[in-house]
Amino acid sequence: MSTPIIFIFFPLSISILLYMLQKKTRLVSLIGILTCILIALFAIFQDFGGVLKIGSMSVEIKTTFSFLGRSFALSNEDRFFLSFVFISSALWFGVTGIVGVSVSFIPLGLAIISIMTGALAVEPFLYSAILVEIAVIVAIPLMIQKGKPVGKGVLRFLIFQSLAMPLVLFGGWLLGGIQASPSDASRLLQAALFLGIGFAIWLAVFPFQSWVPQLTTEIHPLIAGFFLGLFPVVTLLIMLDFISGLVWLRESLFIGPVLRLVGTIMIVSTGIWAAFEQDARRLFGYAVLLESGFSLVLVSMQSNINVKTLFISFVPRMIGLAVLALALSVIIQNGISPTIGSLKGMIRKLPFASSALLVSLLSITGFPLLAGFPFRLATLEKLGQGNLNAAMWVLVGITAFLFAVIRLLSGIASPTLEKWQAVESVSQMIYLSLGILALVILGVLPNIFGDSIAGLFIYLPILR
Amino acid sequence: MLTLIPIFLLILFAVIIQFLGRYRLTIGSTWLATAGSVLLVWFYMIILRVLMPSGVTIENWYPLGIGTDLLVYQFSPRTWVFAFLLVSLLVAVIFTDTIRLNQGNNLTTWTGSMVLTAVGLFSILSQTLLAVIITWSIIDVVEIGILTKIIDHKKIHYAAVVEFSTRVAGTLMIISVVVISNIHHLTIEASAYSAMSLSLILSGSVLRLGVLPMHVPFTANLPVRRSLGTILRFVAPISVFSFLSQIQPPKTLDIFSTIIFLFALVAALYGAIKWLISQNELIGRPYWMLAFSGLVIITFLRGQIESMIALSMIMIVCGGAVFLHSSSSRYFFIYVIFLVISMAGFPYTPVTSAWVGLLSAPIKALDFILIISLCLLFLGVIRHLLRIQHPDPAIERWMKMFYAIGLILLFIVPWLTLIWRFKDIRSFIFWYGPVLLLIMIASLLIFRKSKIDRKILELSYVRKAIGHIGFIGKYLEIVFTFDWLFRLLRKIYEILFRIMQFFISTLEGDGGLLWALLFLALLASVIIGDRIP
Repeated sequence: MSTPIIFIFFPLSISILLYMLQKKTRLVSLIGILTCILIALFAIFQDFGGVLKIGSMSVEIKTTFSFLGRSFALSNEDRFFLSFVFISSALWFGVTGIVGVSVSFIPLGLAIISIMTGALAVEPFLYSAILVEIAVIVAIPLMIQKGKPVGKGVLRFLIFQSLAMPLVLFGGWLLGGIQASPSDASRLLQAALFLGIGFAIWLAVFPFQSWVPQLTTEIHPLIAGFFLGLFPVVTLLIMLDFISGLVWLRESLFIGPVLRLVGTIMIVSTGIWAAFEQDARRLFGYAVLLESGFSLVLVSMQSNINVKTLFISFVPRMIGLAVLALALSVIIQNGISPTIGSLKGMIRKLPFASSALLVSLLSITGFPLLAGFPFRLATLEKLGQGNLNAAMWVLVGITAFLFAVIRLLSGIASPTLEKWQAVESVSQMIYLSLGILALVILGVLPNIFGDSIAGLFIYLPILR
Repeated sequence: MLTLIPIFLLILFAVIIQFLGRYRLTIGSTWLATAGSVLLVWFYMIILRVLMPSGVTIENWYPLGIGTDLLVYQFSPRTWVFAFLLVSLLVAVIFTDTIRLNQGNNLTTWTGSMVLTAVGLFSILSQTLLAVIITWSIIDVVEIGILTKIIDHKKIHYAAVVEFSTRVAGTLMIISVVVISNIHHLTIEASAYSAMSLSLILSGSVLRLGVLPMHVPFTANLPVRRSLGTILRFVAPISVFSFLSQIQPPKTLDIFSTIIFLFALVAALYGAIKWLISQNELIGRPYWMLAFSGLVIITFLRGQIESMIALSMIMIVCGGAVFLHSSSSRYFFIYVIFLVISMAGFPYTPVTSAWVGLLSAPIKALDFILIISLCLLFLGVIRHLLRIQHPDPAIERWMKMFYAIGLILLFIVPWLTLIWRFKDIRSFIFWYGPVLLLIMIASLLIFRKSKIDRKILELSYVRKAIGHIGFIGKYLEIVFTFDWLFRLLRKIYEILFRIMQFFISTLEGDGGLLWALLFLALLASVIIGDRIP
């Protein structure tokens, strides 16, 4: 038994099975959620490369697997990612029923996770580009609504992702050729440039970000949240693995400053776009971009503590986006367009969804008391120690984004003639309240798990 | 842990009282339980000052050590005064509420006041910048939550959002101090803040106090009882004053501090005038806060922390008395006289140190503005306190008794603090300040009583002058309410909005991909030219 079989091929086969069982909605949900939970538990508790004991039986868990001449490797370094991805998928799949998302979301979602995990595991890394492209293609049916034309955002998403693939492949191929003569600086730079642009398109770095808010406006918020919560994280981890694997790149003088500059531009531009935004669905897209900007800033600092900060920050990021997606889904389900104009006084009609929308956006911004705050502050402090100007610009970006959230708050909390009531269903109220509670608890007590999760962060990519 | 007990007690009692009041007790018994609870906390505050226990320090707040900031919650001799004043105000609120029992919403008012006081205490206890950021945010969230629930007028909602925004901006300033100064330990131990850090701290404080840009919330129109409204309005400024009392003030004023000084001066004078002439104490309440915020900022910039504490005392004690007073009696003027004399700042009295921050040596013209501001504030206190309030005929004797005890308690509290503060303030001997203040107050009162003012006002050239002053005043008011600034900002926003929409539609339009590549080329040229060696 090997980890790639458990984390890639097993969920992939389950997804095929679930796709065929689509009519049995509850069964599909149950199997999907249970599969994710089981796999996540395995990732948390099992030592990769060790022995799994089931009663008197011992099974060796290998970390590599060869398939069609390519090697897939998932080691202890990937345990946090795997547990994070499968736990969050279980949560995503758990809420599909309460907001009316098609049940095909579960098998396709599981397939996407498996393929993305494969993208992270495949060696040589350049094949990850192909796997990411396959994941994108598998995601397309989820994004298309029956009886409606394909939107601009979906098309642009496909175009950008497809553009990234040849760039990464070409960069990887160039790099492969250079291995023989690593002193060829100009070729190295060319390879880095191709790969850099490829990653920039994948991560929707400015100026390739336009598809993100368009996509979040066109597709169901829950699907957008699932995909945009997962996709940038995987591409970022592929990038980290790539930087970590090439000594010349991670020790080069330009990688840190370039990533810092790109991350800062991303945060500032996202903040400014958001400040002039009227639609909460587009704000959702900007929230994803803001998260990606912060991730790049953390990577740019190239230290173990910052990589650790990046990895732990995936947790509030995922919860924040999930609560945001759920809140938007509930609002849309009630026939309300989530624009500032239409949301006026909405707190009186949909108090749980409105509060969840505001709390999740505030958490993503880094508002004190909420889950995102400790990570934003830690990032800013470390950035400030190295480059005060960049830290100040990042603060400007946060302020602009916060302004956007306050505008939304002003609209949602605006007094109307309507009486206070709650039209959300009980299950929606419970899920939204739990989401808000999780964001508040992680904001007030960010170290709630203490050192019990430290084991997941022992093997992190080395960036310097 | 002893330090945090008052907060836990207040929240616990609030929950119990809310439950008992709803399902078990009559309104009288509920009030008794509330009064007993807050009195217990009040006595505990005195015990805390005697014991002065060490606080609570949380070293590993961040997960897996990704950050180094500490959370420290403890009292210092200075901050205890603010905490004691706040708890005393709560006791006064509950005691004086006996005569407002028939106004309804008693349970919400009392438990709400207790929770707000607990939040305020938590903020006062904060001894590190991180703790301050967190507790200020709690105050903001609680306040905007309460206001959202009760506001039903668009204009008030707009004012509440503006206030929330400026306060959050103030908190962001303190976050930037953490980022640039890298101060992780106790704020009071940071002996030398850089000029930049101090400027940010000052900006954060004036933004939270509403001094710059000057704005006053429309709290007079809030549908909350005056008692809850009073606590609601006092908590945020007290938390800022307490924070400033922990910061080493600047030794010299740079340009930025001078600008802040001038704005604070304008806020103090403007607030004092508006307070005096306001129709009633509730309409004047935000101006009272604004004026004292200005005065406190001035004394901070002059490096007089003891003066700040004394001014805060006047703000809470006199303000509390005015805002909680809602039933007149024959002997009430005696209380007013004692209150004014007690708070005038004579040597060896609790607020004598107020003058050290208001009067410089040698005395400057600027100081007269401060004396006039204080004089106007006291005149407003007298005016609003002596306005005849018609008591409810249904009020029983015991209600009147507790109402009186509540007001008397406010009077006594500063004297109680003197037990521990006397050694710090006995060296402040300022006779001419309080004497001048009392002479000015007395003269103006005599003027008013003897109707000389009316005769003077009837003189034609005086009427003309008043007309001109009124005309100028009208425009000055437009300037100082800063509504024009918010309107201007809105206009700028609308212009920028159109420009941004153009950019967005360009990037997201059919040619968006080409534009993206063009931007990439531009960006790459900057990066390659500037960053890559």
